[in-house]
Amino acid sequence: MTDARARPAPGDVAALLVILALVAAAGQRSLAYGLWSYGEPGPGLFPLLVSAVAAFFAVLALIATFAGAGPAEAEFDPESAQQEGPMLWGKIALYAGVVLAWPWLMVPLGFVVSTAIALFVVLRLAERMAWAPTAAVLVAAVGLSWLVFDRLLGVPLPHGLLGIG
Amino acid sequence: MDLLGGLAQGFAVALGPSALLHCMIGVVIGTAIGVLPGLGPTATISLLLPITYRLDPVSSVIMLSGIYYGAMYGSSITAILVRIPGEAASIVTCIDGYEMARRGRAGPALGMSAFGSFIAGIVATIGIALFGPMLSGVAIRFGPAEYTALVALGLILVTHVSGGSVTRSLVMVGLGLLASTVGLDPIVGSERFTMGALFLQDGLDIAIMAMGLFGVAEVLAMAERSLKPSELLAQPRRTRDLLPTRADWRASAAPIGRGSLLGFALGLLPGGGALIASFASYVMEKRLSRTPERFGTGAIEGVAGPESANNAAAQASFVPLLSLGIPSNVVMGVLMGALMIHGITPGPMLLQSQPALFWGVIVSMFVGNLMLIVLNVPLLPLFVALLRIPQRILSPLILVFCVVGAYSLNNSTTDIVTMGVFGVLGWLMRKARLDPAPFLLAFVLGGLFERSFRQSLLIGGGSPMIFLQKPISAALLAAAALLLVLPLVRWGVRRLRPAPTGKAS
Repeated sequence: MTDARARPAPGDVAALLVILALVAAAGQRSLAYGLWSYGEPGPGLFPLLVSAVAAFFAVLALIATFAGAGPAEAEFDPESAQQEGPMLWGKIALYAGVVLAWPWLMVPLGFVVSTAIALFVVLRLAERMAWAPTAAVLVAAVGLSWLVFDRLLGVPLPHGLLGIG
Repeated sequence: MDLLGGLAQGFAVALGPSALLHCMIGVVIGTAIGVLPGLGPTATISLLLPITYRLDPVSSVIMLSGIYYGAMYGSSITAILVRIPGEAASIVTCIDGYEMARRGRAGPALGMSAFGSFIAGIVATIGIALFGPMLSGVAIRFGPAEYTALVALGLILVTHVSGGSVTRSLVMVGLGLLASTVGLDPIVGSERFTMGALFLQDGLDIAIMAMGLFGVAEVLAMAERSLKPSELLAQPRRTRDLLPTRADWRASAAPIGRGSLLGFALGLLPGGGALIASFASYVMEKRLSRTPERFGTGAIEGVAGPESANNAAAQASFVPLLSLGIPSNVVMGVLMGALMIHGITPGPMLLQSQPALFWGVIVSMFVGNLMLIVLNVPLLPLFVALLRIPQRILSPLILVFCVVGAYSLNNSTTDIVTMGVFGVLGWLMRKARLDPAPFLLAFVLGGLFERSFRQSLLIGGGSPMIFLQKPISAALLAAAALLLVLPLVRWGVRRLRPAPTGKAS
């Protein structure tokens, strides 16, 4: 544990540096919004102050990271407690890719087709499920969600160019 | 309105068919997600926010509250039978609960955990009915300066007990407050940080952010690594097997009583919650025990006390939200978002403006606890069967729910994109050991914080001294400053103290 703390994790440092850059940019924009006008606080005052607070603590966290004082052990995480083995980067990338690409497919293809494609990628490629269970879960999930949300709750899910759904 | 009148109104609301139905849905979903490791109450409540748009505010809050305290019941089932706590609040239950199950006493462990939670739930409900209006009466005299100081103290307290590094949590608080300023300025009406995007003019949506940070990020976290094989111990088949013996009751009565009171007291504090309460109760019971060596080997007091404490704390955390408008943990933050979606601002005026909601929610907790004890005993095998649903089916289903939920808010795919971005950000935050909970809490409180801060400065003629001239705000800020300095002092002392040569005990 002492050894792990002595060397700062590159991810920790990178995250804090990104935050510092973000709050620096936000602080600069806040100045442009105006800090004080007509005898009252302007729109930029509060964002400037909170940017300064975030920057101050990000610098402190960076110092603590390099000084080997932090971060402390993370809060108990029920997910990681049941996991083992190496990071599955490909699987995470597939999941993240699906989440980010799904909305772009939904308007042209409609809810049913886009959801079927997304579930196929997740079940077949990310989870490496066999063809038959993939098809069963896919049909059940698409059918049920369309039935519950579109028919039962009246959510107007997009039909897309194909007019399905 | 007096206490009895309020309770009578609460019973009239909570025993209505809609409230009863939503309370039952809430506690059943809560128990189910408590059983399922990975999907916590924060993620579930976030995912269900879009559905509550279509419900009346009282039913929405009753259902969402049921999910929260129902999850406390459910998480103990897996803690006892699989040694995996469904929620962090049941970590302590793993110690003696699992040992009891290994020795063939899973029934009494599960039964005592359910009865203890039930008794604690009733104690907490009575406490909320007594303390809630009292606190509202005090808070009604708060002005903008006091509110600014209270929010500041609340946010700092949250960072102290969230489990990770205080400094990093404070960074997240700053970012959350910054995120709350995106959109139109609440006073002047000018655009801030919208980058010309039309959808950002109304600001970021709490439901979208919560679904991303807790729902999608949870799915990504579950996809990270392979699952460990876990051994499910035999669960009791008959209701009779769940009933604790007379000796169990004798051993557990005092721990349940102490756990309920301790949990309630800790749950009242901003930042306090079920996790700390369960740990504190376990430590207290071990210290008070004449045979502390039994703890860790299947002592029923080690299950009864912490399980009572975590349920009492979960319910007590409603007091700061309903009476002060300050959510004490992230679940309460999301609940506050649910109320605000319906145009209701929680706070001291809630008791006067929405008495049906205030008392209805309190009494529904009593009803919900009763439902949990009645439902959970016969439904235990069903909940245990949930553990057999493979994660690789559960994760895609959660994703579908997130996507449809986000879309249904405004019938816009832009909301799904925003949710996806926050999902990936939430996962990255976890990887960088930056807790998204203080971020979301600060985001929820940001509007109130900025409004009170600017109004205070206006009243004080631009001088920040107004915060120190008012005794309540000065006291609250002094406490906040003390909490801020404390970790620095502790860090300095640690640096100055020579490193121990031996292994720490």
